Amino acid sequence: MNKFFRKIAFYFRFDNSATNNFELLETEFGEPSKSADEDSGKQYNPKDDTADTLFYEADKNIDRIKTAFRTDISKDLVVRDFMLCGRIHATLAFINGMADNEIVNNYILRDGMNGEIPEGTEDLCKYAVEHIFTVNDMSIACDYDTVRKALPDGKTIIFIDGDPHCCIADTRKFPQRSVEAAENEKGVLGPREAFIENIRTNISLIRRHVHTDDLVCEMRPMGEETSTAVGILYRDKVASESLVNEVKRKLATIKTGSVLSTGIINQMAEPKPFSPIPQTLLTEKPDRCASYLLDGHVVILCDGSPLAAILPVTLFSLMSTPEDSYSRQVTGTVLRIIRYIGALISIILPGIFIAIVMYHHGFLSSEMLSTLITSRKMVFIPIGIELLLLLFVFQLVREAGMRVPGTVGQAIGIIGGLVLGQAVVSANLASSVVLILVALTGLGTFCIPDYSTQISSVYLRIIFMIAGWMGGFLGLGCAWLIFTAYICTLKSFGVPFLTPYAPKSKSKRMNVLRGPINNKTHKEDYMQ
Amino acid sequence: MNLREGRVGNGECVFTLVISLCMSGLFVFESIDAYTHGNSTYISLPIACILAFSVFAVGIFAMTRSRSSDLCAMCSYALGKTGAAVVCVFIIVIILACISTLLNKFLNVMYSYFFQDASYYSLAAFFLAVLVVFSCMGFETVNRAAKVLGVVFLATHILLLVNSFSSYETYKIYPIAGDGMKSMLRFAFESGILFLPGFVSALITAKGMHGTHNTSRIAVKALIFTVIICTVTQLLLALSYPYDDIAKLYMPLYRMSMVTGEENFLVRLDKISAFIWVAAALLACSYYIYSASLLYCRSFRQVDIRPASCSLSVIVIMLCLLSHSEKRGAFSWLNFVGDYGTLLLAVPIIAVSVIAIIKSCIQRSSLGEVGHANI
Amino acid sequence: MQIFKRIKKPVCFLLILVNTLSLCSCLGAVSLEKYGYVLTIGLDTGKRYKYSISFLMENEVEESEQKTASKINIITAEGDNIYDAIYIAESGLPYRLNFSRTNYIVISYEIAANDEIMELFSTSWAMLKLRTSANMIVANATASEFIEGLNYSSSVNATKLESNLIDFYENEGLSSMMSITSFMSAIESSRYDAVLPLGGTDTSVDSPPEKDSDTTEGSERKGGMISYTLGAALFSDSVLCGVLSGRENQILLLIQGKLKGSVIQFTRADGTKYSVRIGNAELPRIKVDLSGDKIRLHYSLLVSAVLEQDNSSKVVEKMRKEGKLTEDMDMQIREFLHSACKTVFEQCRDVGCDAAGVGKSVCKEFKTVKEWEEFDFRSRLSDVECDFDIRIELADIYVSTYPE
Repeated sequence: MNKFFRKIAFYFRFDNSATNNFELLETEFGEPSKSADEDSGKQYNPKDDTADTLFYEADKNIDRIKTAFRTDISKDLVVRDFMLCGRIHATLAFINGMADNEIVNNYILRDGMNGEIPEGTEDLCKYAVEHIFTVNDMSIACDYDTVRKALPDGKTIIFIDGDPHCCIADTRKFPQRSVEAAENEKGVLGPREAFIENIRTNISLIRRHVHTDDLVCEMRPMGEETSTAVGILYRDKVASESLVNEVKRKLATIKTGSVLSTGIINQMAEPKPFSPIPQTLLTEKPDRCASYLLDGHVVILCDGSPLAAILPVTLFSLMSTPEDSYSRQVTGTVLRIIRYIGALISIILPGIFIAIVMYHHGFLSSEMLSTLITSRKMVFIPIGIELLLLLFVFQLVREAGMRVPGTVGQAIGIIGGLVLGQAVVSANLASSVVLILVALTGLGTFCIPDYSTQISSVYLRIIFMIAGWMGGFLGLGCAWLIFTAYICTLKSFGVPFLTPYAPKSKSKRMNVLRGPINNKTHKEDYMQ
Repeated sequence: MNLREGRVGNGECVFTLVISLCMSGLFVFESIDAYTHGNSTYISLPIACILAFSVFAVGIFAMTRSRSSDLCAMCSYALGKTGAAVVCVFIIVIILACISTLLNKFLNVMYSYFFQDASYYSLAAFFLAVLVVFSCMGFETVNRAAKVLGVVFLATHILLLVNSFSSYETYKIYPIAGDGMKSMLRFAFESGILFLPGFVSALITAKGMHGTHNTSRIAVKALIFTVIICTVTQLLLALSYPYDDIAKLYMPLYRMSMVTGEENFLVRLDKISAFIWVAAALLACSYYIYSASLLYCRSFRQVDIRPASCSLSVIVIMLCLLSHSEKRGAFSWLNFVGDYGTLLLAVPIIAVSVIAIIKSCIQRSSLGEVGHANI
Repeated sequence: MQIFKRIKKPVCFLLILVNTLSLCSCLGAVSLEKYGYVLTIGLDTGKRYKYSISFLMENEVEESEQKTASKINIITAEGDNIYDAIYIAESGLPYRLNFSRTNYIVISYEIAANDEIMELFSTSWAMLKLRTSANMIVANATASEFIEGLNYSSSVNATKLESNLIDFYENEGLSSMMSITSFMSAIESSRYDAVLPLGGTDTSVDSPPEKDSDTTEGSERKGGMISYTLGAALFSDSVLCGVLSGRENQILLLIQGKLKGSVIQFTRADGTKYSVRIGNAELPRIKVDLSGDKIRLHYSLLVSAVLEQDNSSKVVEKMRKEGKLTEDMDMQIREFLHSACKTVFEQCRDVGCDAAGVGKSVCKEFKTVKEWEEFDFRSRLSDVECDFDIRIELADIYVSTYPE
């Protein structure tokens, strides 16, 4: 019983201190939050892994590797003994299909066999890396863990007898996609190329846009089992130091077996993972990343994922597209306004409709009332259930269209939209007016550029619909107020979500109305 | 401490204060009291606002002199902890009375004009949810929401005033002087209670507004906007209804767009406006509840504002509901507050301010140039 | 425990939400198809009970049946007040009556003249959620006959028909339109009196008329609706005290400054005719003199007159070339309007109706409410004297419409 009451007290307790909210400095008379977590924003120091060391004998090292990689079962690992400079026994190993055979043959084996090494050289690996092997990216490791993780990466390891170190050559070459046009973020005026699954290529795509010397890419392995390379990109001295440290600290707290995509990192690093509004922006466009990097944001890339996570973000970032910047000012503004109206329609129109139909009939004109009543004459489902049902069917059609490949997927949309809709009206399961409303709502959803926010709008509109059903415009208004309170409180890595409107900042980044491009400085004051 | 003051900017505070003052100033008073003997509210209300501001000015001056960060600190400085607690509780009670009057007005509007099949309890539950959420989320949330929604409020209000343009006729404003200067000033004095809660809340949350100097700047800006909005609105109301007509209306602003009688696509603006006013009123009440809770927490050394916010929200709703029940006679003190509220709220603040000023003068003269920090 | 920590807030939120949901419940939601929307209310004296109230509703039919079915449904019920009548009517209907889309309230002559309007209105109209921009009409006969006469087969729907009527009458000036809000305002404010459009039924549309009242102001008409609105019903406070014809109503609108356009034909001394479209060029300027026993008003009207048709002869052409045409027309129009304005004003004054809004000007002369209330304007209405100063702005008079 005691345990039960303690649990209840735990849920309903009032904290002595505020919840751990990381906060950046704000521009107006602010001080860092005294109530934030002690560790927030502090310098991140990665753990110093003192793993076990390697043997002096190459054979022993390679046997250990063979056991770890189960060479008795799996024949992926290729092991090659050779005589370094004709007299010192060395062994190299790599995973078949992941290493470039040409580099291994020509620049390791050939150069290694034909090279010369003076007698009495103590640091054999160091000498070999500096004088013999002609691979451009080589490093020396002294711990078994690093060596073990290098092999699945596509690197080649070389053990030399008499040296407890290992040479690791970057010989990665595995099949990958070429850089193609973005599938989910289509544009007309801007660049079309998108990220691919290789993190190196992605970094190079970003570096092509950002030619500054202060662009830093810190790599971190994440995932106990996958050791996925995760890159944290930012501009040193431009991005806030406490922000960068906070990001690193958050990533360091992620203890999971596998990290296969940026989405997983996103979920685990976000301050409020249960929030309907995402606190990071996922994008597949390098130019968009570059734009935010130049402003002092931080970008996270993950090997194996064609998406980059930009943080921190605001509502206006989530609702903008790169197309707005590439278009002319008036065009960009008009497109933005349409987008915001579409987003509002998608979230609030069903709620308004239900509120009017159930409580405030005087809002509709007599003709509209007449049309509605006539269209619903034979429909037996209550109007709220009808609306919910059609919204659900719309989502079904959308999901089906995404899963079915190629032209058949397009046909699903047509079949779902036209035929099913028509059949539903003819069968008196729904009225034509409600069908049009659902279609409008769906179109509004697709106006939201960010995919996560699009999906959130699906259940947000249900909440508003229920609020409208329960209390008409009063219920809807109260729900809207609570939602506004929520997004006013929301912060994305210390930056309030409605910046630069509330709180006000001197941001040159365009918000709802697109400002002029010229005289734009890249440092956003709310990022400092 | 979890008092949820956050960090807010000047613009946000001005919006919050303007919304709070305007909602109280435009909607709380009874039409029958204000208009039966002529309509001169477009003169009385600005005077009332300035009167309330002068009380605020005395308070903020005393806070500056005594180097107090907020009203509670000044009360402690002037009267000691126990005295401060007593005064603070008294101020909280008066503020709660004002909040319940404002909320009750909109509860009646929602019931009478829109939801006649519902009960007061059901309607109040919707209000309660918003009040609890806002007041618990804190100062930052209230201010930012005020800035976000303030533009919508202002735009709708202006649209309503412009839409009713065809109903404005100069004869409706006559006789201009109402019932004479005496009754105008008397009404102005009685209406001071409409604006005092807003200014007193500013004194209470002065720390969150980044100091007394900044708070006074914010209050001045809010005063200017409030005076403009209240004067223009009351003037246009006076041009829409003759005084004997408007005295019988429960909420004349709501009926304003109906006077034209013309059917255009904005004819439903009155209903939209009503809900927007409810949202603004809830925001204003949340601000008052938050400031009352903050005053309570500071007086009684509470570390978390949420229990106080929740409790005060429930008390306010309870007061509104009880005034519709059989027990309404027990709440005649609310009417007393309505009639003498200006004195009830202004006198303690002025008294405490004067004591604080005198004390700080004495201390300064006895300590020389070294000031006493009382933060 | 870590999992509980992460989901603590959502769980709390859900708990609060569920509790609040159970507290608030739905606020009396009623789906719109459970209502019948009343477009027009008719108020008559009842046979068995005090009032007989008619409700006109749109007949919602499928598209295929629209051409043949009747556009409107009329339900009549009797009761001592409107609520009793509503209950009786709803008892025989599969839905509730909803007044949020009501366009017209038609009051029979008898009810209006017997000062029964306020008795009906004194019950809380707000509880009916009646549309406050609903217009009021006084029917010369009974309200139910007027409502039945609104059935017009060529119209698209009843709502469009009724809204078109409002536009039409406002433009032509043959009736004054007044909403229920303005009507109540007129009674409460006591600075002017209500003037409602006067409705009637013209059975000569279908069959030969038996008496004068079966025609449209004495003229037989074929085609169109049986019901028409022409002229005005004058009220003194809330009691019907007189009527004006369509033409007289136009003059009244001119005095009020609300006439948009009305065509009047004049005959010159030589027998030629011309038509002008007259309207208010600006609001009338009124000077009030309270110095004597009586209230004296001086109305200054600027009237625009646009020549529409001139069946003139060569004599008139000559006058035009000599520049004498303007004087001639100006004098003729001015004399006509002066006489008409004076007649209509005195007619309204004599029945006790302040249709011209004299009170609006008089109240401006007082500084305080006390003085105004002590003056007691209503009791002095019958002593008001008025003279009109009419100026004409002629336009298009040099456009010759004489066929060559």
